[in-house]
Amino acid sequence: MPEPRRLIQGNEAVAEGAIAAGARFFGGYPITPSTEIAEVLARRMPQVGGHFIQMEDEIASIAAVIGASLAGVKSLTATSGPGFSLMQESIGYASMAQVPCVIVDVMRGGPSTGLPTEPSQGDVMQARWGTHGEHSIIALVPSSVMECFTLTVEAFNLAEAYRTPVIVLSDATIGHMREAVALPTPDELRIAPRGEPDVPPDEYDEVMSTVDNILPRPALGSRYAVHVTGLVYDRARGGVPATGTPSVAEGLGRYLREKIYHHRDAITRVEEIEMEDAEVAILAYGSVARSARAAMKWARRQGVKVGLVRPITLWPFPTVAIDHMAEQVRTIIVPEMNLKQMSWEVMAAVRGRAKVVDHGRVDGKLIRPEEIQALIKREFHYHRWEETA
Amino acid sequence: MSALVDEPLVERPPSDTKLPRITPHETAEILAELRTPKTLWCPGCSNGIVTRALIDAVLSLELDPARTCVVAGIGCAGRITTYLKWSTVHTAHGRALAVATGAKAADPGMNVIVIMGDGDCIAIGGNHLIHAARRNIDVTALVFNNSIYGMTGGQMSPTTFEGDRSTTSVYGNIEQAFDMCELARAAGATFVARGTPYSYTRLAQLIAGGIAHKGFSFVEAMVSCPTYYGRQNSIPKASDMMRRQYDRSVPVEKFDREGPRLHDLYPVGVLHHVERSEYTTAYAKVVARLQEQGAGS
Amino acid sequence: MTDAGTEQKSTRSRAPEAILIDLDLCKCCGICSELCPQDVFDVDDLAHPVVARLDDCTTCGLCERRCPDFAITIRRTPKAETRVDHAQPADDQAAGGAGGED
Repeated sequence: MPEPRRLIQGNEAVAEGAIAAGARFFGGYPITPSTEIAEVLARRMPQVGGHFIQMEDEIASIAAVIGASLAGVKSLTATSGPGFSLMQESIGYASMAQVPCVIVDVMRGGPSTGLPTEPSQGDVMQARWGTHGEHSIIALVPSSVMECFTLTVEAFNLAEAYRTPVIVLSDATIGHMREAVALPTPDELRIAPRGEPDVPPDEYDEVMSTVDNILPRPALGSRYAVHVTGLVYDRARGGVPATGTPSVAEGLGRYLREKIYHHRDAITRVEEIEMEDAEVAILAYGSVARSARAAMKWARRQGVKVGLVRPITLWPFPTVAIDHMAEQVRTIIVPEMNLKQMSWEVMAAVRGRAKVVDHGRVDGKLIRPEEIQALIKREFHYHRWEETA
Repeated sequence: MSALVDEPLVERPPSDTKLPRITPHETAEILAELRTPKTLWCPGCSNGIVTRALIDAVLSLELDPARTCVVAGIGCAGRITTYLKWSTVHTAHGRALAVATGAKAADPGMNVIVIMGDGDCIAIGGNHLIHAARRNIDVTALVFNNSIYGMTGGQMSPTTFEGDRSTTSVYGNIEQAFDMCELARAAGATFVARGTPYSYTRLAQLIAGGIAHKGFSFVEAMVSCPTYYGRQNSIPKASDMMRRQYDRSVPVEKFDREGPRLHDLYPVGVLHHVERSEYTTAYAKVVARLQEQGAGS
Repeated sequence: MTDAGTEQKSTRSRAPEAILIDLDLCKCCGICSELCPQDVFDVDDLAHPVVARLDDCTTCGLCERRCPDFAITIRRTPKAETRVDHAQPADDQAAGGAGGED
């Protein structure tokens, strides 16, 4: 039975989602528009016997999250663009060393100090490629207060299942908006526990983890005496550095990619609305998807066959869903609060089978339904439009 | 002072500090704590000696190896994580203390020892040192200070002495050397000590004292890098560099604080030791207080 | 483990039975041979230490402890009182770097 509906802020829902998912460590640093996540967890973590610490900067924050996760505790941090940039090195470390953790980036106008209090979707490519080196990542994009909660829970589940950092890409609008929601209770949620090996220390070997059977790493300070490093390591020799053996480096790099990409169908989630007979589709995510939905509904009211495809997982990119779209529709409209970052990915997946129309803005203002309606109109120029708004 | 912090600040002069007794172990017992004794450290590098002192300290204190974790940064010192048989974490450069803070906060019962080189600790890692000391979190920082960046080929470090040569101070260093112990003390560390591999048992005692101390312990080991520091500064022999550790170190009781600092001489021994509220203990009190008040989840 | 020491039966009670040097681990750094207070070692042409004057050894243990490569094992005589590691610096607060080793 769900809780009663209450007005809750997106950032607060992220914090509650983390608690519900079993997170018991938050290390972070204040930055607009994410600070409320820290403030809520400063109050909530001690209440549930977890740990809240305000670290000295974002670099320390992600490092502390990694330390706490290695010590066996589900951990997260929350930040915005400038802090997200600072965290990139250690996000790569978590990826390489296979440390489950959740990083919430409440996107704001950038680059640099940018527009601290205004939304953007400028970090979507950075979420994929912000850290150096060939690596994989999972990124989820909430589009509502309820999704702030449920996708944060999902982020922790994915982090545990695939032993990887997972990024939750919110934005200033989603983070600060309030909606009346009845948050799910724990029994209504699927929570992946922090696992432990089921063999004794003398039988445990990191190499027992395969792409199809990813096993949890034992915690620090246990009889398993694990070695964790950011250097290329040999999974078959206790994870010790093996920088001098090219076959080990190649094997590790491919393992880390396949660990996620082999499961991309299970990982990627997309919401499709009124796509069954759509001739034109809008592909939108995050707060822009709300405007896109309104524009799509406006078009449908006039009998124009427009559908909406909303990626919930931005990375791995939902190429399968785009592939189907490309076979069906003649135009895909991609509105984003950036200048074409995801539309390039859409074009690559579409491979010329449909026209891709991008629409961007970087002024910190939401893309309004009217802007998307104007783009839809251009795709149906023979249609007699009765409403202008 | 907060109501939560009910432990008084007790200034204890270093001479009152009772250091744990060290039982130097036989080489076979030391080897049993290593995944491999074949280290990548150069001939004559003191790192292996401090590694042995650390093992001697841990074994003498009878710490449970299953509850001991070593977190180290990047550099020659950081490679200790490959050699020690306990839980070890080889972090990104400079971030060992931040990682250790998270690990200790998540599992306060774990013994956390943080190994860093001078660059890892005080250049890129300086900010994390300041705050770990300020929090007085119960970890032991053991810094291998060889005044050079060895792993990357011999560049200067913030602890390179004025006038010394390195590949990035080709005409002689014009910057002052950092006194890490002074920084740690000023930032709030409650146990600060410095030793040398030359005085092996003394160093092992200081390390043991740091580990046994409840609070942020900072132990600086003045190690030697014959390959890069030694060769670039006309003291290429490891044994000569070891002798210099002895020549330059002065017991803290005899050290003239007004005299020349760091370029020629440095104080060794327990430099600072006080007791004050430790971070994880204070946090646990907050949680306990909330539970008493019946704050639900 | 290779024994590079001469196994002379010692006539002085303070010498150990043997000083064993693992040539597989030794990196020929010279710390043991050059800092031995009793000049027990010579070096061979590869700069490995060679136990030349075992009788002079007082089993101070410095070579074993200061070897950075864990290459030295002192096989001590059963008489434990020959070990000199009793004197802990904490027992003498004035001891330190400038007062002689340990």
